[in-house]
Amino acid sequence: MKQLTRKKWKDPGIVMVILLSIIALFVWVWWPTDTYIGGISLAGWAMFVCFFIWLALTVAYVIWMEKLEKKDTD
Amino acid sequence: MQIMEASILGLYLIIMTLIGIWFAKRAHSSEGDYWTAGGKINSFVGSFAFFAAVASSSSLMGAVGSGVALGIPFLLAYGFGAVAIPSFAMFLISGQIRRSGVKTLPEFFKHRYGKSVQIVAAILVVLCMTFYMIPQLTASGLIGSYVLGIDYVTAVIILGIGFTLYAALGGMWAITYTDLIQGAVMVIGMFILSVIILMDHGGVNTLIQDALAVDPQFGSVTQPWMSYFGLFIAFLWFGVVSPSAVMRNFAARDAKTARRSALGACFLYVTVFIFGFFIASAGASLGIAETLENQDMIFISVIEHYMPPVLAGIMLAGLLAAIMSSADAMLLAVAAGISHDIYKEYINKQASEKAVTRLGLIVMILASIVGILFAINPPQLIAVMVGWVSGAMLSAFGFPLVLGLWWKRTNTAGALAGMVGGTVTFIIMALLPFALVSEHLVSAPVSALLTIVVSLLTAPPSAEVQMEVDRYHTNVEA
Repeated sequence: MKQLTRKKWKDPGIVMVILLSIIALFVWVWWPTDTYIGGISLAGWAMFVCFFIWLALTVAYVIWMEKLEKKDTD
Repeated sequence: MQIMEASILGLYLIIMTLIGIWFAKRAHSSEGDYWTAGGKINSFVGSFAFFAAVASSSSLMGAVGSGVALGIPFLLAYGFGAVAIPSFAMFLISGQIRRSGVKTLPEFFKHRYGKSVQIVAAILVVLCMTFYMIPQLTASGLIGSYVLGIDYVTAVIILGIGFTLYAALGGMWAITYTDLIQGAVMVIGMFILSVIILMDHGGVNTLIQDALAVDPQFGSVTQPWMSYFGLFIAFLWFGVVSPSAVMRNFAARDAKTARRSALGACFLYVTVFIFGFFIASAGASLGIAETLENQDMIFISVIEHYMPPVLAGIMLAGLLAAIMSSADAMLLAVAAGISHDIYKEYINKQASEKAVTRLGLIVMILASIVGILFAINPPQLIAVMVGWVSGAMLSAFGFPLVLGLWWKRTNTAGALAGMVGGTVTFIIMALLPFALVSEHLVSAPVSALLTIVVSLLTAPPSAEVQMEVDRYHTNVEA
């Protein structure tokens, strides 16, 4: 059982959770409410940009897992 | 009464019911459960199913309403968390849930911690789902009152009774397959509406400037930081703690399809929130938000203002049908939680099928009455109410679930303490004057702390259970 067990901290899911948390933390700490771009607070735009970062992280995870599976079957 | 919209609405609901019956017959004829549809579901269909299972239309309507009422950054904070719902759940629990072989939240708790935790979880699911009826009924009451030309309270009561009848007569069959269609109608409808809005205003920049000209606060952060952060956390965790939809998706399909479906659902969320941004901007530019009795009505006003009656009818019908199937699923979850998971399993094991069904029906009616009573005078904006439900579920289930999957030392006493402690803290926080949707920022860490500390202070789980947790992390079938 031990040999089969994947190291929890190297799990792609946990790596992605950590990345997502760091990016979100950056936005929440930065929180530039008083700077405006096109009339909308920069804090709003930062959250908007993250929509695409979340999508990119998900694409990366799906590819990573499929590569791992391929390696396992090889 | 809007004759065209009302006719389309009636026709649409009849067609959806017929499709539900047809698909249900097909689904029951094969052995595979409804998600797998005999193993033939592909990632494309799966994406819509996943999306429809998590995104309730009332919450989309609420997101737009909140974007106009509280400024567009509130909608963006909503999306900031919501876009990550499928991904976050996939990163944190999908592989482990798959290997544990369970399909619902109470089932996992029984499997991992035993009966006591399962009973508490079932009761909490019932309470959360009953409360979740309120935003559904508010949204449908607004649509119904507009389309049928009756007052809001009457619409809520009529539709509340309608939902109960629909759930009681139809059961599960009407939900799943029609959900796919509702999901598609919503995404395509919002896309068409956005294109019309952008053409009407001559581009994104002018649209935003038009909104700002009417409401100079439209682009500003109007609430305390805690409210935005709270909303983000509540939605980020929604997929992890939602009682069954997401888990069933991860558990039933093959791993690759489940992952690709989650990716597709994430993409759909991105598009829906971009469209929501345009729709909210258009709503603000109309300058009618202050005149509306309920600001969640703004989505309907935008549909009516920009779309021709036929398209508006289809869009409103799709919206109402989607809310109806969500409410149906919630009522069934409430009924099953009490009559099946608690009554049949622990109170009266010999209960006949008829008695269980009858009890389920009574519970459903009671839950509807509670929902209707609250929805007559909704306590908050839809977005805030949905945030509350998600925050409450996170405070109750989030850490007993995630720690149960990732840390083998978590035991029954710890899970119980985390679940009950988190819920009680959430209720206390909700009663105190606090920033909007931020109660769980206190109650969820309390739940985590209680789960960890109580687990460490009491005896570890049996070697068998610990082996089982190790098995969740094997490389087999990631």
